[in-house]
Amino acid sequence: MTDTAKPVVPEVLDLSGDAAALTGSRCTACGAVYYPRAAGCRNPECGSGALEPEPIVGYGVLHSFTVQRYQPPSLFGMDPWSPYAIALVDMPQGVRVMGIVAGRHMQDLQIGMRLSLASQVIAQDGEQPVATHMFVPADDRS
Amino acid sequence: MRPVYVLGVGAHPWGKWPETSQTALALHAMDQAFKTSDLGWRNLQGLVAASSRFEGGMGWGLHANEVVQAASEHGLACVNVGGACAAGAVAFHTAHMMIASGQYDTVAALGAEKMPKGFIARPPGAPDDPSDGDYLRWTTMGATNPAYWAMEAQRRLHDFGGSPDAYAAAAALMRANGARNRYARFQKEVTPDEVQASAMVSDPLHLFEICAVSDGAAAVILGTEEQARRAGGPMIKIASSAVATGQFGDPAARIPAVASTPREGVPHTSEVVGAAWRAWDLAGIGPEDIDLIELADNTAWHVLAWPEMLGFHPPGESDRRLAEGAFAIDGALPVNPSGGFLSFGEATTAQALMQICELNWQLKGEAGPRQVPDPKVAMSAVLGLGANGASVVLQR
Repeated sequence: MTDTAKPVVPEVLDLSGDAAALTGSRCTACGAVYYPRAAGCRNPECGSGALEPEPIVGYGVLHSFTVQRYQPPSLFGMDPWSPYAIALVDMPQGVRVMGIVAGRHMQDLQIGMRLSLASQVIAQDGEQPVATHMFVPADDRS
Repeated sequence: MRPVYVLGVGAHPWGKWPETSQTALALHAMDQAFKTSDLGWRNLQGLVAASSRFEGGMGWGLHANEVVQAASEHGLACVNVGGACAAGAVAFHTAHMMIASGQYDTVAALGAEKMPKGFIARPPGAPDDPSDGDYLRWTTMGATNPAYWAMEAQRRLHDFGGSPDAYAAAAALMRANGARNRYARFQKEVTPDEVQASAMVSDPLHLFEICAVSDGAAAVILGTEEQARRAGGPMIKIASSAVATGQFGDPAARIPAVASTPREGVPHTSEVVGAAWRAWDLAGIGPEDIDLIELADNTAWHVLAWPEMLGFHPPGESDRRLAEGAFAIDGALPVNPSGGFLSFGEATTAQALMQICELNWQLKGEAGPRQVPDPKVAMSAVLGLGANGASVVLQR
């Protein structure tokens, strides 16, 4: 479904591969991972400035979540809009990432469960679907 | 550094004041502060304005220069500081340091804010920058501020096995205190049942468990020991003021970040913990010396979590302490006798100065129906967007 979709912010989400990937960066010295890509390493014990691209992909562990029941200010282009879950997920790259959980799983969330990073269309730009990153339960293949 | 004292405080009641300009709110707060100090504009050598809700000066700002041009052009020093919701405390810290340095004798810190309705949105004019967390949290997931706080609140329930009832009880306590404060916007008590019957905004947080946005203004005039002595009455000394930013590895869901790299051993909300601990160090005190705290209760979660974060008691104990009455006005650690943000609604840059007004009223025994019994040492703790933390300790 997302084959032809474009990311809502192209610089931060890569939909060109088999799996959706957030475009992070990793410090080549201390290994700290950043999303979005950082200008430099912020670890005060590191001091290295060298960062390399680090795709944030795969399965993570649900740290916490909420359900946003009221429509946010207009910058979020979900159309049509309906309440959705937002989650914090500890990704294997060592970074905790925030994102929407695919709508049909909103009632099934439990802290500690495994979620997979994916993408989902949230709006249309003319003919082209627009997608954002989204988490789905790890055992959900649909 | 020489000692610095509070000479006067003043405020405009919090609320929605569409007919009153920001400058008028500011002037009202200043006038009240002058009335309590027998000082006037001509006595001020400096005015520090909590001027920006956002880094970069964007948004709804207050400028000391504009206030002075509406009140008294006598050449005083005007300083405008940012710090988002902590800006009021940053302004206070700046005024404190200006006098402590010996270069100025009488300086006021001022905050005044008129807030747009609803969820706090991106500052007008902010660029669409894909490396900016604030841009990404809106465009890629539409995450409001309450969503961040709610995820903390949800995690707390998981970590300690607590009940959402504790959030409702915390909100009800704040509203009970606020009902005794004529400066608070919400003057009506609510029961925990009414809190839980209010709309669910961001699970597990209901409307009454999340601070509204308000218009308001607060001012604090600072001066020397000699001035304070001359004024008579209880002398309120600034035991310390401190400002800090966040530490790498902080596990907090920090607005407006969309990712973090939590590390073992780094305090949660490290900008506030760092500021408070530094304030304690500078004052030579610890949590056992604090007779009351005004903390930034953007939600009911903050009422429970912050006393633990700051080290007043072990993590997970706040629910029980709240239920036992420890956080009440006559409890062991009165939390937000003013009623807090949940009773005021946040007038962002003015809020930290309202906290300091309350510390002063409490220490002077002027808090009326919400008076904490005979406090000697009182502190504030506040958090601002952009990982700004600040804390002030006042002493009678």
